[in-house]
Amino acid sequence: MTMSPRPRHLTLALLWPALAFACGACDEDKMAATYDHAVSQDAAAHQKAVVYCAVQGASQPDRLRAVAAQIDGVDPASVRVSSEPAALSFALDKSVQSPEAAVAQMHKALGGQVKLVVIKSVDPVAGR
Amino acid sequence: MRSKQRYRVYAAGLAAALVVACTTMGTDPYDMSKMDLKPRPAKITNERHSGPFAAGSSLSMDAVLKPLSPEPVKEVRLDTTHKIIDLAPGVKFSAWTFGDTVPGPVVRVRVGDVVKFSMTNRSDEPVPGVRVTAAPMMHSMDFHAAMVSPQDKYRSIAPGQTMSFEFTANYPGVFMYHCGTPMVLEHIASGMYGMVIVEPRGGYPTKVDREYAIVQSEFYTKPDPDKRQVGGVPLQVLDGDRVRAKVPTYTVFNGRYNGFVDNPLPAKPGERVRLFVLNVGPSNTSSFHVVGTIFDRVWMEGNPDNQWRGAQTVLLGSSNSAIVEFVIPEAGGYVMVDHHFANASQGAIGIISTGAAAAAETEHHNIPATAAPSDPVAQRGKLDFESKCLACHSIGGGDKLGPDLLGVSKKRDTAWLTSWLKSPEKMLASDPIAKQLLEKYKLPMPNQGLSDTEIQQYIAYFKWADANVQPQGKMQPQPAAAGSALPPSETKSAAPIKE
Repeated sequence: MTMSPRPRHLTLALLWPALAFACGACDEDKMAATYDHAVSQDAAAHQKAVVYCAVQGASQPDRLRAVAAQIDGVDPASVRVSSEPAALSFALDKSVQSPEAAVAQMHKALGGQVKLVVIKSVDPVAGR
Repeated sequence: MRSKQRYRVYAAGLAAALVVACTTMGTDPYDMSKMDLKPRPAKITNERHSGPFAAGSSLSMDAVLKPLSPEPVKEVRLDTTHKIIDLAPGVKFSAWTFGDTVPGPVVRVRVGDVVKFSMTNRSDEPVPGVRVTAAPMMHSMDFHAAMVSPQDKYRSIAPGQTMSFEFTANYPGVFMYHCGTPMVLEHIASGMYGMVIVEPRGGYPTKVDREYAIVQSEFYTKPDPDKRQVGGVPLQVLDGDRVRAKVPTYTVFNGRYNGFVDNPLPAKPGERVRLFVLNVGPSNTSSFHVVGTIFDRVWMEGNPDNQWRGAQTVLLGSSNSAIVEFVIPEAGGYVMVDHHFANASQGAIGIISTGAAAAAETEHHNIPATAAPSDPVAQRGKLDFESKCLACHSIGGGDKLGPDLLGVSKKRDTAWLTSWLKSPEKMLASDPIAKQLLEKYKLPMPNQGLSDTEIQQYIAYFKWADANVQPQGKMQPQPAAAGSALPPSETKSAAPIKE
């Protein structure tokens, strides 16, 4: 028996949150790889968010670090990079731009070789 | 009439026996359909525990195990901390912990119990004075005793967060728990591990007089690059190169070098002892053996269904466990060792003792070694001495089968020592000093077939020891004058990591 298209899309939509939830540990592992308590404390004190990203594709940690430090709103001293698991984090002044916009600016600077996916943005006002 | 009554009695008995047989044949303790695998989502909150770092009636805080607590739902709280531990005399190590101890507390439950677990990451809590522990970081929990989704339950949490989840213990055994946050190797090597005992639903089939938990682990240490000190003692931190090369500086029971030598576990002659033994690694294997007895029962992975009888040694890979039971046949000190003897010499040694006098003879397996000289020729001599000669001699540890050799290069000149090491049997036939030694020690020194180069190395080591070693009892290694010896982290091992 085949399903009509509308119920099939509905089934996938119902499944999607569960699939995303199933990858949660990978996300926390990537956060742990670049977590720096001093950065978290400093960001909270200066009303900045700490943005955690997964890195996909071949990346050179030094280049990633240099590019991230140049992005508008990013605190250069807060950039942390991990090779394994491949991850990146930084403190961001969200009044300058959003995490997604900051990542888009990084993509442009990196020239498409590397993809960054925002895992979590920890906002000191709203909590985790 | 009588025969009819007799027939009814026989028939009733047979029917009862058949009912019992059918009932027991149908009972499978591993019936998956009867196991509680119901998913119960974990919770992460920003509420922080305060007070003790470990809590729960099912916890034992050291090797001496409390009996099983009867309640079917067991609350277990193990918070994570960073602290300095005394790994060995004079060795202050920057550790990460569950429950503020290394290893973490032992959790004891029964098949069918529900474990309600919670953990606050308290690695950021203020410590007195200048902070010399590791910076706060994310941590997690991985219970080998649980059958749960790792993506939900074993997530890493940041300092100040609390993780809570529950699971049902479905299999009997002795299971490891550890931090699963990357890099897992570093989190385990820093001290984040412990034991969960899951008793069978009907309990164990034997009765014992003593129960102890033994957790074997490796430590990989180096001096703090920032040269920090704790109470005037140089701080030791995790050596990333050594941990990746699997070359530990210490291999210990229950987080302390020779801890059960200094504080033996008690037992009496005739008693039956049960050890719950877990090797948490993180990387090496253990050959667990108790000198002087044989394991009457071995239950691999802590499950009585996996039984051996009459074993001398149990091979445990990293995260493997066993329950071993044995009888103490007579008064004495029964030495627990990892029979991979390089590991025993690094501290994987302990004693089950029937009394103070019986504990005196430890040096058969733990003759003090000395600090390593910095001169490579003398260093080679030390390695050869410790692999070939320690059974009969010591340096500063007292006479054994042969004499204590501290001071030998001052008592005998180089020519005499060279001749002795080359051909002891010729010396014994002609040299008066050699004859005196034989008179005193009764055993002729065997010819070791040493090359000229090896003899030079031995003599260089004896000269270095005579100039520098400052023996202090049974301390391991025997200390040397400041500036004359390598620190433990730079001592060459059987698998040197740098030339």
